Amino acid sequence: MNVVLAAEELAGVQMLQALARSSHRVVAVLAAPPQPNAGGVSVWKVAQKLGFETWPAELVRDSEFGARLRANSVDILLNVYSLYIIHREVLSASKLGAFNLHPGPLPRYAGLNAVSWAIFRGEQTHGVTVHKMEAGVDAGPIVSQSFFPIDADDTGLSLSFKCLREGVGLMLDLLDIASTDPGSIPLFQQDLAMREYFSKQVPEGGRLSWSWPARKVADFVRACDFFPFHSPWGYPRTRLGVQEFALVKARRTGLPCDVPSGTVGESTSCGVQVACSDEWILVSKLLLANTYIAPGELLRPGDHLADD
Amino acid sequence: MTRDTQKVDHEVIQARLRALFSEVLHAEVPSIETDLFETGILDSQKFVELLLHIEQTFNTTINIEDFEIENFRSIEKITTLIVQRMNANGVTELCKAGTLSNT
Repeated sequence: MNVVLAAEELAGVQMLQALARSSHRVVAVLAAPPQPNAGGVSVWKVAQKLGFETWPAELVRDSEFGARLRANSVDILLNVYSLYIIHREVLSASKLGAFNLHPGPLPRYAGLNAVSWAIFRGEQTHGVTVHKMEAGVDAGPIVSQSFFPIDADDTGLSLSFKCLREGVGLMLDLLDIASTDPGSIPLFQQDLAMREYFSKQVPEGGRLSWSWPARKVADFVRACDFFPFHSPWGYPRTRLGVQEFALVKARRTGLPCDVPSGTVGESTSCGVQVACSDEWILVSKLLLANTYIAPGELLRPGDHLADD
Repeated sequence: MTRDTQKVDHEVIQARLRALFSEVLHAEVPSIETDLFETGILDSQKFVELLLHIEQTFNTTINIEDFEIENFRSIEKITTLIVQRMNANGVTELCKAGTLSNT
């Protein structure tokens, strides 16, 4: 099969490597070209290293790009974490159409940062979806989905790994079907009554409240916890007096507290306890002025964190 | 593969991983048990580079099913993963020059 892959991020690299090991022909890889003199690795650089032709990802917004896909006899366009809105002429330009890997269970959790939203909302399970792309964000019939539990200690990063593992697997399954019996690709219409769309907006304005129950505080922190990777939401902020800082890592202790919310409690080598409305949480890493620090470097027992 | 041979392989792989971190990723790892995520050593860029270099250095692939964060948390755990992949792929010998061979 002649494949064009539009991809970014770690998942895009993994999809690219899986394609390179497959029998399919990668016509080209659509990705963001690296900035001049930029170091590090990217989908673009990996694709070039593997010998694939690279095209700027933004081409997908141009209706005339469809002609290039047709000229190259492209069978299928795969989209893995590339965020450009693909022009409808382009969506229909390859023989079998365009298919997207979305790191969330559709029709719920359409849009951005599905992983973080799922943890923040206290979901017990999450999922990934492969769907045929139609005009609209995360729109189009569902080909396949995989669901898996969100563990109590899952963070944004660990859940993203689960999505990557399951999602790339689903995309490879799609290619198997598409190359052997394309007419049997499942297409289930999304129930739009169930659809929830999430924009790039960070919940609660990115600030946590110590009057919340410990579960909500801990869920907010781990939803943002992609450490040491980039966190799309940043980290939940709070303050000690006028000193602003953010919580990078925290977990529930199960220990009930009867002091005012926001009170700083015991400090150990594992971290510092802070009172929520119902129990202590253990804070183990802070971000202060762009520097990661141990909580004990800033917080002392008896301090009181503001509840804006 | 005998138990002794596997033990040697573990040590050689660990040594090569430590060299990879130091010379290619420019990151010093205090010990093979050091948590590479908690300590901030493995950011996203370094992680992708690590994966690419593992495949080149050890002539083995990291399958998508292996993509569990715990598999990459320390040099010790990465070593275990590489040995599993080597065994699965039939890679049984470490070459002195630094590449691996299929037998």
